[in-house]
Amino acid sequence: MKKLEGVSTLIVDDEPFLREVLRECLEDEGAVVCEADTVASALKILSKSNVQVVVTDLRMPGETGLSILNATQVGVGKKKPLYFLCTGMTRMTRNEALELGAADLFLKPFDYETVVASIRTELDRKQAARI
Amino acid sequence: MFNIFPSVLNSSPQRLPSALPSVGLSPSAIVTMIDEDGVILQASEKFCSLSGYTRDELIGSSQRMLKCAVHPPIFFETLRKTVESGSIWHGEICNRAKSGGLYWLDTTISPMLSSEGKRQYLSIQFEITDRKNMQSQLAQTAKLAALGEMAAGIAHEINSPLAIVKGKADRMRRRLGPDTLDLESLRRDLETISATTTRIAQIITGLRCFSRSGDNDPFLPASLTTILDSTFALCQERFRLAGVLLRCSVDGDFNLECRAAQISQVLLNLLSNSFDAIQTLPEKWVSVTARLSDPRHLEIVVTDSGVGLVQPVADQCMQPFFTTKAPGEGTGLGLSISLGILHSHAGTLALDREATHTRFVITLPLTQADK
Repeated sequence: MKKLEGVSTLIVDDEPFLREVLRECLEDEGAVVCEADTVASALKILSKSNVQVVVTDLRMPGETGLSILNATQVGVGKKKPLYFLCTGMTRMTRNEALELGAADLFLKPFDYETVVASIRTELDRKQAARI
Repeated sequence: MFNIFPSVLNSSPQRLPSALPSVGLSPSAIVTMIDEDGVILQASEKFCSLSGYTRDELIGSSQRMLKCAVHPPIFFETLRKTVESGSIWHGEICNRAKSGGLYWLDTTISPMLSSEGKRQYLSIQFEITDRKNMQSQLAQTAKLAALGEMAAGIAHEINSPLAIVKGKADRMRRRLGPDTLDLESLRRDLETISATTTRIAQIITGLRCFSRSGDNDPFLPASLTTILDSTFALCQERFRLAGVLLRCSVDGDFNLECRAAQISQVLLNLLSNSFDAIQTLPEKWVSVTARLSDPRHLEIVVTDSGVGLVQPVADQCMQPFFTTKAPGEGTGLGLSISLGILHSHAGTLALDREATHTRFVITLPLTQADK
């Protein structure tokens, strides 16, 4: 049984190989994946398509993933789970990320199965809250 | 002008130490007379105690027995040419004691004629090992401080590729279940893993190369491309994340006899200075170019988008402890250490004051034996 069957997921990272491996791991679990390499293109995708989950690098050249987080937190009941990936060079802690509204923050090199499991749990929790 | 010395030194060796103060030298002075082939003719007591050799072992032996690998061949070549032309040579020499330990000497060598009209050299030296060790520790501290500034960027640089390797490896493991294997996809994953570990290894090599002292490394042929790659590996993430464009334009490759770790240190220092200076400018780039300025010399130029250094800074930037940074942010030693490193390579470092942008020019001889 695939854990993320049909879940529309946006991956944002300036590192092509990282996007590739994350895409593969999520697609293996049935997710429908789209990619962005900059904050601007991520925001464009978010405004147009029906993305359910976002996994984004926290720090990219000249910008951070925080504006993507803000874009996912608008609209009552429309908040999308967003996961930060970071390398530990930014000063943000996991607790700070959670306080800002992120679903979680994973330090690279992270465990992909943990990311998948966390997304599943978060979607289930949202689903349960709706019912 | 030196005629008082031969009379002192031509007296019996036993009388030498007591005779020295009379010519105004402190007993801590090391006085040696050498013939034109480098054979030791006379040696003072202090020379014996410092080198660990007895006077009998020293006299009649070649002074080459004291040589160590710290100085490149060109160093001794310059010294020889200076004294052979009749001029006085002054500088700092590192010698090896009988025990194998190294010691440093502030040295003045004066050419003179013996009573038989033969050319001889009088060397007066003072030990400066403690001072040299302190300078070297200071240089190492400055380098570690620079390394600390880069540490965060390096963590990013390494953890991202590690995440790729881990993802690919885990995915392959998952798929090695009972299902049939997609060999083409596995091959692609393995290629990514291999390429990514090479990238990590390059960063580690750069770090290892940079953090070691390098002071006593032998001068070995090294590829400029390799030196530039290992240097860039340490800072390109910091540049990339700050939106600073790092351009490098070198036609082909150059082989140069050098202490690669030290050349990398010089380059990294110039790149870091540029980075700090231009971070707040609207236009942010640093460019590194290299070419042969003549068939025997390599010219490496580091230019950044800054508008050059203002007057007092331009004059003083190479002096030790001069810094334009806030207290605690820079040691003020970077350029002076770089200058020292390039001098030990018989090279130069200069600020191009004519250039529109901030432009530092390094010249290095391709081979150290080259005169």
